[in-house]
Amino acid sequence: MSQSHRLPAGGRIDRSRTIRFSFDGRGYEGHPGDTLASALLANGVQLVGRSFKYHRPRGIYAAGPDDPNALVELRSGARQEPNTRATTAELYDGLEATSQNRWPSLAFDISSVNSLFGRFLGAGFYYKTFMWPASFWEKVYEPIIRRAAGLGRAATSPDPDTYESMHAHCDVLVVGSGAAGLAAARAAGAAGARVILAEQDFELGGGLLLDQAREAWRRTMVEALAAMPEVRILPRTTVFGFYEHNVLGAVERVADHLPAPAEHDVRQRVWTIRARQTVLATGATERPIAFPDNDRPGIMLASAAMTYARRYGVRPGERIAVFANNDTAYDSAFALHDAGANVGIIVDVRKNSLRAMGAHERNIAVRLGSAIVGVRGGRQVSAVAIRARNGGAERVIDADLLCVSGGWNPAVHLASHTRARLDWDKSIAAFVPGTPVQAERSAGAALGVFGIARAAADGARAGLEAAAATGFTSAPAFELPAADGESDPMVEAFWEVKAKGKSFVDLQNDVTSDDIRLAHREGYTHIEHAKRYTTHSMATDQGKTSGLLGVAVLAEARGESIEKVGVPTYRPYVSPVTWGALAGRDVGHHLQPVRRTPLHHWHVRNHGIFLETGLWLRPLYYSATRETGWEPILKEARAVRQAVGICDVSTLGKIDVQGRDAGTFLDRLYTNTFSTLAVGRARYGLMLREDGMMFDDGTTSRLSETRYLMTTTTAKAAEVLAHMEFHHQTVWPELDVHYCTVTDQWAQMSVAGPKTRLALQGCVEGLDLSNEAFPFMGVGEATIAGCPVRIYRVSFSGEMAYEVATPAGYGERVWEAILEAGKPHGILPYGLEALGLLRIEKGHVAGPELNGQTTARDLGFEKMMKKKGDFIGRVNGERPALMAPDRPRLVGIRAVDPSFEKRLRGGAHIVEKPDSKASLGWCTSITRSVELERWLGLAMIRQGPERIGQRLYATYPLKNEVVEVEVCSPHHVDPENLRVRA
Amino acid sequence: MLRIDCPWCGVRDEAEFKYGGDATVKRPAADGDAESFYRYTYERANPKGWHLEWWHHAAGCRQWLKVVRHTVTHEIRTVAKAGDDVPAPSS
Amino acid sequence: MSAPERLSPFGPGLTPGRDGAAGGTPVILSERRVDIVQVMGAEAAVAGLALPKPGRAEISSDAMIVWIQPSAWLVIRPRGVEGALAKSLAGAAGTKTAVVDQSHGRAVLRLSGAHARDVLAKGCRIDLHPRAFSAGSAATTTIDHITVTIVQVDATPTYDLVLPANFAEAFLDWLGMSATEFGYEIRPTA
Repeated sequence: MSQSHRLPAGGRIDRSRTIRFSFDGRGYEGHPGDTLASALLANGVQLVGRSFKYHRPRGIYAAGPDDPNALVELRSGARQEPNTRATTAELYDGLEATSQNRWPSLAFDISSVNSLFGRFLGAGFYYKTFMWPASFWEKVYEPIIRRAAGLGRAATSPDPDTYESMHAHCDVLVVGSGAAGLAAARAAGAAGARVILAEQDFELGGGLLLDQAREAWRRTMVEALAAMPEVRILPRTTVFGFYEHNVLGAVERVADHLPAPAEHDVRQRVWTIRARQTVLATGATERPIAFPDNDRPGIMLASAAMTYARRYGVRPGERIAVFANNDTAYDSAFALHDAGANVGIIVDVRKNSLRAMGAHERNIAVRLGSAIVGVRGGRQVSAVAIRARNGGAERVIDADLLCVSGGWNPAVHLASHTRARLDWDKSIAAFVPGTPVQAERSAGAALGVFGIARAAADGARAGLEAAAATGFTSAPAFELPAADGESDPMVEAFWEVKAKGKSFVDLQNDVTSDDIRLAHREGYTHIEHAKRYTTHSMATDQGKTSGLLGVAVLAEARGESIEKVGVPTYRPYVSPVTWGALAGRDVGHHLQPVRRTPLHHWHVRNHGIFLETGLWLRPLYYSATRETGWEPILKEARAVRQAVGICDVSTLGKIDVQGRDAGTFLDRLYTNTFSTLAVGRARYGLMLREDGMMFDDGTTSRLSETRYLMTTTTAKAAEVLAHMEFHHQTVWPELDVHYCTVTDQWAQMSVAGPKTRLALQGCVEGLDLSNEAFPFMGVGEATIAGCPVRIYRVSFSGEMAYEVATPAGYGERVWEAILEAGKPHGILPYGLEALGLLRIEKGHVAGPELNGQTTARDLGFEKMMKKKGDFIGRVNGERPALMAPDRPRLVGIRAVDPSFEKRLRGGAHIVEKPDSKASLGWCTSITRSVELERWLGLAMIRQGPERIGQRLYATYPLKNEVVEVEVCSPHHVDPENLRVRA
Repeated sequence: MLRIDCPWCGVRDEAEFKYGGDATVKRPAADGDAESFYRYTYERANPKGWHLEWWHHAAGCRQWLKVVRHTVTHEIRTVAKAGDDVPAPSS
Repeated sequence: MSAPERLSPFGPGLTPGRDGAAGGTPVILSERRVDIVQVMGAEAAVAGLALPKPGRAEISSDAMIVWIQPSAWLVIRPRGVEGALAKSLAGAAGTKTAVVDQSHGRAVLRLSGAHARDVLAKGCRIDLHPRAFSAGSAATTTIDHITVTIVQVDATPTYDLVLPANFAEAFLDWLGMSATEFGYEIRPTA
C-alpha cells in the first residue's frame, strides 16, 4: 500500500516523479519535494525511533529542525551519518535511513524495560548511582551507559566527501526567508545594500509555503530578489551562531539532498559572514504542553500536522484530536479538515475562543476549559482522555493523531547569542529579543509579530532600517500582502496537565516535569543548574520545543514568574553542525601549509626521509632503501667528522637589519655586543626574554657599516621578528633602523668537515678560502657555478665549516656544484639527525636546552653577558634565584660502558645511586657518538660544572633503564675549538 | 571572532593578529632597578572591563597596535598606532 | 657574468594545462617572472619612485609598486639581470632608506577570471567586492595560514598574489582545491 496517507492533490511536491527510499531496510516511495519525514508519514509510518533514556517509542513530532524525536542514521558505508533529522532530510532517489537507539528492532526494544524502572532513572540518576568507586567509571559504568544510551553510530571509515569554508561580507544579512525575511531582504536590496539572505529550508518562504493564497506574492518576492545583482540567496543554509563584532557562522548543505556530491563539488560549506547589519527573521517555534504520555507516536505539534497536509500533501492521521491553548491551532485543525481528515475535537484550555465558530461550521467539536489528561495506545496513539479543568468525568475519544499547541516561542537563539537580554512578552506568553547588543534587529514572528501580513510589514521596516544604517537610505517601495485582520495567537499561558504518569518536557533527553521538580527539591533551583542536573534542553535539538516548558515547570516549583526564572543562555550552535563542515579543507596534510626549502625537490629526488618540524619539511637523513635505525645517520655524521658533508640549513631565520642605529639595536637585543663587530665578520649572539630566560641564539654578520644579517633558530624565526618589531615600535621608536625577513630569499647550506676547504676550492670563484685570507667567523662574497653566493665561515658541527648562501632560485645549482666538487673528497649530504648528532657531540645548545627555563648562565654563557649597556633580560636575568649555585647547569654526560648496549634517553633523570629517587637534573639531548663510539649527551645537572669527573646514573623508570654515566664538559669533541679554525 | 580596525589596513579579522598583552606597562629606562623591571615583566591589573592592550598585526602591516577592548563583551573602543597616546581606560 | 635562470618556487605543480571542473569559465593561473625589491624608509628618500599610499599599488605597464606596511613598499619589475634592480634602487635611495632584494624570497602568482573572487573567498578573509577593493587596491592578509599580499591589477578581475617563496607550492595546493569547482587553467610563466 504505497503512500497510503498521501492526499490526492495539493502540496509542493512534484507528483510527476516518484522516488524510492528505504527505512530500516523496507522500501517506500515518495516524491521530490518531500522530506524523509513527510515521505514516511505519506506511507503511514509514524514510529521512527526510541527515546534516549527510557527507550520509549517515538514518532515524528515536528516538521523542521525543532523535531526532538525523528533522528535517524542516513546513508551507509563511509557516508553513514547518525542523528540526522528526518524532518529536514530531503528525499532523494535511493535514500537509505535506519532508526537508531533500539535493539534488536524498533518495534521490540529490550531496553524499554528502563521505562518500568523509570522512578529510579530520574534527574541526576547517573550522578547519584555511579559516583564511586572512581575507577569503575572507565571500565564498567561508562561502557554500559554508552551502550544503552547511544545516539546512532558514526561511519568508521574516512569521509569521502570534501567540505570547505567561505568568507563573506555584506551590508545586510537576513536570516530566514519567511514573509518578514523576504520583505527585509527586498527592502535592503532595493535600497542598494549588499544583502545575503540565508534560509535553512530548501525552499524560500517559511510560513508562506503553507499559504496558497499568497503564493503569487512569495514568487514575486523571490524573483525580484534573484534579479538583484547585490543580493545573494543561500537556501539550505543554517545560520548557526552570532558571534562578537557582527560575525555570523552559517552552514550551507550543498549536497546533502543528493546521494553524493557532484564531481568537483563539496558536501557542505561553512560561511563566515561579516555583516554590517543583521535582520533576524527566524520565525517562531510552536511549543508543546506536558501531559501524561505526551511522547507517544501519533502526538504531533499542530503546526507540523498542518505543514504535512499543506506543504507535502500528506494526511498525518485519520481521526484527529487537537489540544491547544491558543487560536493558531484552529488553523491547523481547519487545514487538516479541509484536507479530508476527520478532525473530531478541539480541546482548548481557554474559556473562550473566537475561532470556535469556525470549528462549528466544519462540524468540529470544541471543548473549552478542558485538557487532555492522558492517551491510550502503546506504540501509537489510539485514543485520548479529556477532562474539564475544573474536574468532572474523564472522557475517552478515539484518535490516531493528537495535535498539540502550547503557543509560540519566537526563535530568539541568535539574538541571545549576542548576550542581548530577552524580555518577557505577556501577550504571547513568550520571550522576545530585548535591546540589541550587536548591529542587529529582529523582525516578524521572531520579534513576536504574528501573521503573514504583519510580519511582512515588520520585515520591510527592519530591512529599511538596516539598509539605512549602512548608508543606503532611498528604497523604492514594493507591494506587501494585504492585511486580513490577523492578530496575536491569543495564548493563555498553560504548560502542564497535572495528572498521574510521565509528562515529558524534553522529549529528546527524556526529561519529565517530575525531573525538574526533583531537581528543584534537591537544590538545583537556578535554571542553569536545573538544566545541567536534568539535561533538560541540552540535547541536539537545543530545547527548541521544550526549553520554555521546563522553565515554566521550574518557575511554578519556585513559586516565581517565568520572567524571573529566565531561560538558560543560548549558545552556538542553533542546530547541530558536522565536524566535517567545521574542519573544511583543513584535514589530513592540509591541516596546515607545508613549508618547503628551495632544495626540497633535490631531497625528494635523492631519497630524503622527511620530518615535519613546525611547518617545514626537512630531510632527517637520506636512504634509497628507506632503512631505519642509526646506520644511515652514523654514515652521514662520519663523513662530516672524517671528510666533508653538506646540509640544507635554509630553514634558519634570516633578518636583514639596516640603518644608522642597527648596531645599537642589536646590542639591545643580544646579551653581547654587535656594534663593535668588524665589517665582514660574524659573531655568535644570545637573546634573552625580558624575564632573563634564553630566547634564541644565532650568528649575526656585519655586511657594511649600516647593515647586518641576523640569523635565528628555525623554530624562533617568526617570534624573533615580532620581538624586534615590538621593541622597536613600542620601546625604542627613536632608533633609525629598518629590518625585514629574508628567510625565503636564501638557500643556505652548511659544508662541514676537515676536507671542506678542498671541496669548496673546487667550485668557489672570487674568494680566497685559505685560513689566512678567510679566517673563522669571516664573511665573504663569491660565485659558484655562475651564481652569486655569500659565504660565512661558521660551524655548528665543530668541524671546519663554511655556510654557503645563494638566492633561493639558484639553490639546487649551487648545491649540486658543491657536491660535484666534493666528490673526490668523499662528500655526502647529511640530514637533520646527523646535524643533531654533531651538535650534541660538540656541545652546541639547541631547542632541548633553550627550553624557556634556562638562563645564559645555566648554559655556560655567563661571559657573553655584557657589563655595560642595556639589553633585554639584563635586569631580570640577575635576580638572586637565577644566580643560585644549585640551579641545574649544562654539562656533558657520556656512558661509561663504551658498547651501545645500554642506551641513554632524553628526559632521563640524573641520580647519584642507581636506585636513588632524588633527581639532580635531567638529560636534554642524547646521541650515539661517532667520535667517542658510545652513547653521550647533554644534561642540566645541579652544580653541574663542579661535578665534572663524577660518575652518576641516568635513570629512565618508564623503561626500567639505568645507565652509568660520567659527567664531563659539554664539548665532547674538540673542546679547544681547533678544528673550526683549521 | 574579533574584528580589529587597523589604522593602516582597515577592519581585519582577529586571525591576522597576535595578542600582545597589557599596553599600560612601560619598559623602565636602562638604569631602572630590579623592582621596576619586575613590575614591568610580571605585574598586571587583569581588569574585568576596559583594557588597553597590544595587538600585533602579524599577517598584515606588521605593526603593534594599541587596542582598548572590553574583557567581558569583547567590544573594541579604540585602535591606535603604537606611538599614539592612548590613556589607560578605567574599567 | 650574468647568473643562470632561477628555478621556479612553485615547483612541478605549475605545469601548463587545465584541471578541475570542465565546461564553466575557468580561472587562469600563471607565475609572473619578476624581480622584487623591498624598500623601507622615509618616502622622500626614495628617489624617482611614485610611492603609493596605504592599501594601494601603483601599477604601470612595466612596474608595480605596492604598499606593504608603513614606510615599506615592494617594487616589482619584469625579471632583469640578477641583483640589478636592488642595486639601482640602493643607488638612488638616500641614506635613510633600506633596500632589500626579495626577488627569490617572494613568488608572484597571477589569478584572473570571472570566478577569481569566488576562489579567493574560500580562504581570503578580506572583502574583495568591487565596492571595497578594485584595480590598484593592495592588501596583505592571510590565506590558508600563509601571508599573502593581494594586488588587484584590473577589473576582470585579475589579481597578483605575492607569496613567501617557501610557501609557493603550499599555496598552489590550496588554490587548486579552491578553484576545482570552477575549473582552472595554468598558463605558461609570463
